[in-house]
Amino acid sequence: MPAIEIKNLQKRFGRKKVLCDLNLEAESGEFLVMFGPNGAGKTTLIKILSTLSRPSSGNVIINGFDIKEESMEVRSTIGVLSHNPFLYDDLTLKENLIFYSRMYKLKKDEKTLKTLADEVGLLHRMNDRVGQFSRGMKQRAAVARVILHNPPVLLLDEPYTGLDYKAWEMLTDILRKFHEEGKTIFLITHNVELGHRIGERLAILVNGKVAFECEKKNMDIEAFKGKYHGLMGAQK
Amino acid sequence: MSQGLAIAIKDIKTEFRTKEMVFSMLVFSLFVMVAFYFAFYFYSLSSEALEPLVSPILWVTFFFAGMFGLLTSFSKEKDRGSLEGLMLCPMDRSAIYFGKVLSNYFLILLVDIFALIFFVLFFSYDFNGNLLPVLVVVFLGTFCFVVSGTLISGIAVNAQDIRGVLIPILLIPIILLTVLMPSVNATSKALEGDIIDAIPELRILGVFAVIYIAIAYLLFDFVLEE
Repeated sequence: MPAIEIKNLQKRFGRKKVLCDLNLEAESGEFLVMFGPNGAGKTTLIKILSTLSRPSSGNVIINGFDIKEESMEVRSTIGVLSHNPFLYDDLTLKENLIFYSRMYKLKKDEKTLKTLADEVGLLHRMNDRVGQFSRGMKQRAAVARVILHNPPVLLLDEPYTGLDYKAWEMLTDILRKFHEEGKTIFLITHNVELGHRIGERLAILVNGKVAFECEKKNMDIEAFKGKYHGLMGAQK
Repeated sequence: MSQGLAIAIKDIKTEFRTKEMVFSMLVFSLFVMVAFYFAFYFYSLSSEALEPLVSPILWVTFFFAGMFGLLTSFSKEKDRGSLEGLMLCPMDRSAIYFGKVLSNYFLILLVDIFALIFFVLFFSYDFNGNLLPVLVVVFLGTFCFVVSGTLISGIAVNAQDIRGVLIPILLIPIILLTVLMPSVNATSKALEGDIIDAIPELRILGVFAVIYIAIAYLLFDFVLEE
């Protein structure tokens, strides 16, 4: 069963069609990377997959749950990481994690929270307010929030925005580890080198449609870059 | 419900750390009392003349001070991006509304109590020994104000550029008829010592509170969506 199944997805804002009959599948445990120029509909797609926005038509099934009919079940099986960490600056990392544990109705003891913070390298900052964190640390804290409920599907919308090299490498290592653990990862990025390096399957979104799809092993970075830049010109 | 409670506790905790909302509401209510005090002082109004104005003065203060809190209730979450974090949690999104209602009610009620204390201090007023019935009206009127105001605040949250204008435009007519007028009348009656006479107004407040809660419960999923 595919972890993500998108059929004839359309999204309109007034008369403007942002997504047009989009079809896409990601198998369970797959690392799918989607590229696309600005305005291609990438963020709209992630918002629909994460139930933050409703599709105008079409079907989306995540882990066997329909996003329109079973949105709560979908939300309990996904973790969403974007450039915004969704954390509270005035709370400590520990308080943020406790808060989100309550929101997911999880009973997390001190030890589990410490393990989680340790996993993202922030054990020593557990009791510091998130507002005092650097951008990279906030993003790592956001990873801890995302994996709190151990979701089998991770939806990532430009999570590398504003990260320095060290934070960038650390996030890449964390994503690789999740992939090895069998989680399905759907990453949206502008960065072709990064996406090609860590992804398993690659897709390019142009004008709200999947314009190109391939297995990474079938296309080297230079050929993929050429394809991507060629398709970018088609974006209206 | 437990998730709504978690949101309320989080809101109150962050508010007591930043003191942004409560501080501005308290300062505002203090300034309103000072303004009324000087108005009475310069016109040398007697305590008899003050009597029919007690209830309107109190509710004008509660309403405008409370509006500060309601203005930022959802916009703070939206502006720092955490609203999406809440919307991603596996729960009915009306839980976000109920969480906000609980935290707004607690914080606005706190300001109301301070406003009552300011009123007593400035006007040496003793509520004719009817403080308890007045408090009953204040508690219920504030609740109705908060349930309607939180709903409007949620509706306006996605109107980023005009949010600050939209909330008062939507809120004032609704609140005026369904909360302020019954609350002012009920408080006047409570000050006269007969809370039983205020039951029709209290009933109006209760009915509208139920209506606002029902609307929020049914529509909040759509309200928050962009």
